Amino acid sequence: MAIFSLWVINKAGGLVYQRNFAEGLAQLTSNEYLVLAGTLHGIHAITSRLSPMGSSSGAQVIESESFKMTILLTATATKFVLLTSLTEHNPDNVLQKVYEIYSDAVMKNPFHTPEMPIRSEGFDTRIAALIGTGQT
Amino acid sequence: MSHHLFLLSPSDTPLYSLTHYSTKPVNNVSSPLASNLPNWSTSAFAGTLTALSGASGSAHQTSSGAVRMGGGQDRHVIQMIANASLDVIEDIMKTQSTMFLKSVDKFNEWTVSAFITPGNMKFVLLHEGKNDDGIKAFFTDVWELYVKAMLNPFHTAHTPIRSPVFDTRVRASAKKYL
Amino acid sequence: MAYSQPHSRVSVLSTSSQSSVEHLSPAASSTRFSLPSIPATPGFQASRPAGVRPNIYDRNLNKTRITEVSGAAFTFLFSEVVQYTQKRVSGINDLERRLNTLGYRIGTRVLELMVWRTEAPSKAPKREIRFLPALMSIHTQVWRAVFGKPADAIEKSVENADEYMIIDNDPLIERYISVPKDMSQLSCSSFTAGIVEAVLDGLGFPARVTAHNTPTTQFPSRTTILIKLEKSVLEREEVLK
Repeated sequence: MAIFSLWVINKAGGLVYQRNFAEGLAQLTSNEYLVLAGTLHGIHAITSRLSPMGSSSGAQVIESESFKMTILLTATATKFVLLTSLTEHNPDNVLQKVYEIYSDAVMKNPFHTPEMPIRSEGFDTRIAALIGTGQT
Repeated sequence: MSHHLFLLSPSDTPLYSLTHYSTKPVNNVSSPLASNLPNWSTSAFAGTLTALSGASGSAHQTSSGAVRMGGGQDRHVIQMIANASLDVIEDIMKTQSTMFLKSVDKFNEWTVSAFITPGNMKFVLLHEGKNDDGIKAFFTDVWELYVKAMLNPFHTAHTPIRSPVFDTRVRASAKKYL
Repeated sequence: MAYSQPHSRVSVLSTSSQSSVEHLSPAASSTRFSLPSIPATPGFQASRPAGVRPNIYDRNLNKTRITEVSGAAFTFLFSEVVQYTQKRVSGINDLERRLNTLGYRIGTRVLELMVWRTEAPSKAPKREIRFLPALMSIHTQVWRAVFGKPADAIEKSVENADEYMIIDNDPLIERYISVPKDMSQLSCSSFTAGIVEAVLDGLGFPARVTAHNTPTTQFPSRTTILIKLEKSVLEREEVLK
């Protein structure tokens, strides 16, 4: 039961925030993270387009043998992705709170430019308070 | 009997003025300065001086007396008296914490009462009779109207108040209390 | 003309079909113009009181005394204010000065409205003429009127007799603001400083008011509002003693 990582992907598919909280996943370079985020953005687009039930919000959970990714899509097409262990029981709840923190500490901050990488001390400290500072 | 109201900004720019002719009975206040002053005629300012002294020269006198013009009622003289009283008001307001300063100054038939808002706006009223309660009620009304006027985002401390509604309300209040 | 009198127009339309001709014909409309809306106006106002433009003078000043503003709406607005201002300035000092000016405009109104609400019902309304009580009332009343809670402390400078400080441990307006590292001197509370400056100015205590970040580990956004009084204020206080 662990939260490995949090990604925030903007509506164009760019990774604007990435932070690791626990060991367990392979360590990648920041460039590799950017590529993976772009790929996920594409997969997400495919899942929402191909839905047989008409319009869809796309993939919500992607599970592998050792971990899962939970995706929260906001109304403005920003994606929050939480990488957790399979046993993590309520990733959606955590994502909701992350979304709340994002709207407070990022969107209300006059020094943040929309769609640009998030460099906000307030966001960092609030996320740390929610999930933990890191290597636990 | 007439009343003259001036609203002055903290830097003493007039923002609004009103002349109100009351229908209520006059209780005359004698003007000691007028009787003591000689009738000067040599000075170039003779007209203003007699006006300032409050002595009503023959030229100024009207028979009806309903609305007296000239004498102490000249517009520029009224303004001068109001301005002159500012020094007194500024002295008093430093030591006295009440907003309503009644009868701070006297000049001939005129008594000057003032009201200082917390934001340092000065309401100056020139009146002839004694009517403290009425004047206080009037000032309180004007204060409320002024607070409303300044809540307008386009109003600054130095913008003359030109709102017709403001004017109507102040006149209505003057009619009621003065 | 027709648009300003919806009622007369509606009645015309309902009675006859030639109304459109009447409205389009210049001759017909000119007769209407020659009779300035004397008959129409009273009826217009009486039948449509809601159509009259709302007027601040009709409104009770105590109406919004205890109502609250949405915190999110305020922070978004303030965020836009900072962004707008930042695009138009050359540096941090300039930005702070502009925020101060904006706050000043708020302060003059806050002072007048706040005192009106407390003093107008009293028989002999009073102004504050001594500095320390005025400072106390800024710390409690002004803060409560603007931010909904009193400030956290007042301090007097040890070195300079003309300096006082108001301290807020968690300023409302900075709650969601993270100033980037390269602008670390900037304090958005310059806006608050402007409010304080306006209140002091209005009460007759001219001062230079600035805001400074003084973070502690417990309160990372702790802010000090520094008041530097003009000489005349201290002299006057001496006389009044």
